[in-house]
Amino acid sequence: MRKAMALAGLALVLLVFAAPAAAQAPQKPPDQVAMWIVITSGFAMAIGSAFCGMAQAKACAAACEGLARNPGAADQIRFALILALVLIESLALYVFAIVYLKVTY
Amino acid sequence: MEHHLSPFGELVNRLLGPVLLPLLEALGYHPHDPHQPIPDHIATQILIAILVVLFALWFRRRMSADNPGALQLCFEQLLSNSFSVGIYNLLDSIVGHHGRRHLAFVGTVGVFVLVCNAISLIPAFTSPTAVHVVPLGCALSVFLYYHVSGARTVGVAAYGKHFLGPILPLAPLMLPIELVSHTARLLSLTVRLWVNMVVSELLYLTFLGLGVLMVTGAWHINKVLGGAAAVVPLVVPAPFVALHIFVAFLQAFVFTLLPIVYIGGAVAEEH
Repeated sequence: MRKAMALAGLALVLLVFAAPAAAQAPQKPPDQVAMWIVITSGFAMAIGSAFCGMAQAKACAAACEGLARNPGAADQIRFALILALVLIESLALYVFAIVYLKVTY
Repeated sequence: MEHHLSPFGELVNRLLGPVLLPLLEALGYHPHDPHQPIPDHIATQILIAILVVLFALWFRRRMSADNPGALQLCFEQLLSNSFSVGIYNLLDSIVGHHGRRHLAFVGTVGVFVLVCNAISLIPAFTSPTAVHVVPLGCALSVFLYYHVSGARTVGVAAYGKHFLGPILPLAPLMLPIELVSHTARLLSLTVRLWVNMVVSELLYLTFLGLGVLMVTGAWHINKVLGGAAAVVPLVVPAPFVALHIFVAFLQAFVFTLLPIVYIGGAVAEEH
């Protein structure tokens, strides 16, 4: 069991090191397409950040209300708030990651 | 994409590049640029790992329970503090019973990510976590660790049953959902850290660029005005450095919190 796991780990490491970085030169899209990529990525980022802002505002408002009612539960509320904010924020970050990868001019 | 190395990366390449290049070629790896075979982030993260381990070894000899120094008191805040966001606090409240045995892994990842994020505050360094490979590596090790520790705690068969949902007839529906959600954890851990670091660098660069544009514009109108406007690119980007410090600590905290949550979900025993 132990040996098999060690072998599996070794295979994983070899696999990781053997694969040369999958970095091929990004192909430039035609100008007509590149223009639309820029325009749509602007709108996508705006929509993504707007709704994430609304969701985070809602989470913050609820946390503040909870804190005002019951300051003793500050630790649990803070923990839940941070976790929720992080999970909501990552949705906007996905949009940004796609924008960042796609807009190459 | 054109690669510009940080001064530290250039130094490493100049010193170690000629030695390592034949070795890499022998392993079948051909760098894009033979003059700069070592990527910046690899050099920086190995330096960080070595420095943190050396610091920890040196610091362990100085620690004492009777007479804790100022430095020791500072670092104890990392484990448990009055905001209850220390690693012990989180492990106790989320993983619960036997939670503290995961301290070594969670603490290592957290400290590594923190130093990687914060090192770009020192001139001549760039954050390794702003390259997608480094957060992916951290996220992969977290992914493997929580699955392995879950399988070891509750047994492989019982852990596999987690993926089948609460009742067996629902398994064909639950299994794809569970698989996708666990893979999405990998994606979200990686993308969150990477994009946050990229964004805080981009923000700084954008506002620096705007300031420089303003100076050149003012210089063309009037040389005195241009000289006065030189203050702008010095002052305006400074708040974004503060923001970077905040984001560096916050993302390091998140990168310790989420593995703890995942471990807590994996090792939870059903009563």
